[in-house]
Amino acid sequence: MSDDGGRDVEAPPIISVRELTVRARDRVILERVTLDIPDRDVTGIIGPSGCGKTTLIRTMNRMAERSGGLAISGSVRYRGQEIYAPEVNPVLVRQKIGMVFQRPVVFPMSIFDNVAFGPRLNGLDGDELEAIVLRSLERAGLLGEVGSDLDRPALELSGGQQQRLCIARALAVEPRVLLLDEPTASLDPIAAQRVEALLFELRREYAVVLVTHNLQQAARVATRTAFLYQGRLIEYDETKRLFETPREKLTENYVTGRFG
Amino acid sequence: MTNEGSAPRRGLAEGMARLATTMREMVERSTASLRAAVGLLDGRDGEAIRSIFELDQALYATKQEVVKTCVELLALHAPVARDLRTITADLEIAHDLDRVGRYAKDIAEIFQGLSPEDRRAAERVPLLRRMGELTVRMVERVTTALIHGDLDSVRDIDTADNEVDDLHEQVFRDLVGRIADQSVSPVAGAALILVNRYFERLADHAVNVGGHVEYLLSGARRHW
Repeated sequence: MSDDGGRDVEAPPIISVRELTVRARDRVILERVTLDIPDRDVTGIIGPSGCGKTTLIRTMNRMAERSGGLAISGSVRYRGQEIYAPEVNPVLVRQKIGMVFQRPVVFPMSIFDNVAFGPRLNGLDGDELEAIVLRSLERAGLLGEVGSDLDRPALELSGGQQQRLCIARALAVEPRVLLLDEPTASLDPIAAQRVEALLFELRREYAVVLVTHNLQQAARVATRTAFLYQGRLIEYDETKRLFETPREKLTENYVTGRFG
Repeated sequence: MTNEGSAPRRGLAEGMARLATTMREMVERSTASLRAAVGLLDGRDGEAIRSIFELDQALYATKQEVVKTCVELLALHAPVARDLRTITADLEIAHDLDRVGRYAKDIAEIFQGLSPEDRRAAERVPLLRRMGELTVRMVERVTTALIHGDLDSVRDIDTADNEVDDLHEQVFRDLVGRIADQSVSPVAGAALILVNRYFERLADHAVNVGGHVEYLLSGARRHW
């Protein structure tokens, strides 16, 4: 597995996963997964249903342990710091490593309050809060669309806008990493395209990890892509290499649609 | 693991199978055409020339079919990995095989324009015949590799090409000498110099095909 991928090999990864194994009561979900997530870029994670890709990103910000019943071993480091160390507060981890889910989870409140939710919990208010809400909406490519009417109920937004609102809400707590779990699966092609375009923009400032079933989406958006199969990392390489000349037969069979 | 995939993927598999069949037709037609062109050096003509012209037309139509199938596969199925490499390599190979047919046709046209006596001049230049045979062998070797997925037989195709290049030089000097000493007519000499040049170019196309087959099978590009 080549690791340079044409990138600046000196740039340290923002997340380093080492020998990560996740077990449920009766089965192994992830087995000794090791990979580095580069900063300021989009990393794709692909694989058939049940391969462990969602669990993998949920271990990257300690969301997985909330499911309960999982035994997690190995190491996940964020900027060199072990996030599973006993003294680490998982809430702070999730602040730095945000997550967006398949279906937009919009709170039944105004657009403004949705985005302000996290910063308010952190004690922000007044002009500072307003500035961060506007900045987050702008970064999520939504400000131009919702205009000045931020008091509108967020549930009135379209599905695609709701998803970008969720991205804005994740950005509002100023994370460094965004984990996205099938963020366009519930969207129509145009709305999905907007989210993809947004991910392309966001990579200038954030590390983006994108779990997707849509191989072409990974091909379009991700610079590097990891292929997981039955809990194991089969191949992790530059996306163009993975889709043109995969090294592993399993990857070849999956990306060409011969199984999965 | 190698199930037949979903319905849309079956469309891709069917398209790929159709592409493989059309490529086999191109291989058969281009090699038949080239063999017939080399046969003209032995004095075969008439029927052979007609068949080369027909094969050239058929080859062009087959090449169009390859392009159409490839565009359709790219547009509808977003192929990746080996499928993608096969499609891009086949597009290039189809161009080279079409050129093989065109050079065979050029040789046929040259012979068609020669007097019966000038046609027989080729028999006095055995190295030219050897050039033709080597070229046929090179084209057969790379196209067999394409059809059977045999990487080993394309790897040292450059060596064969070097031999052709050396022969090209020798035949050229030989023919210039024969024109000078009037053992062949200037018309026959000039015609055979062209044929000699076409064989040299044909060998280059065989090398190209070899490179594309190598990329298709291994993912490695020769000149990138």
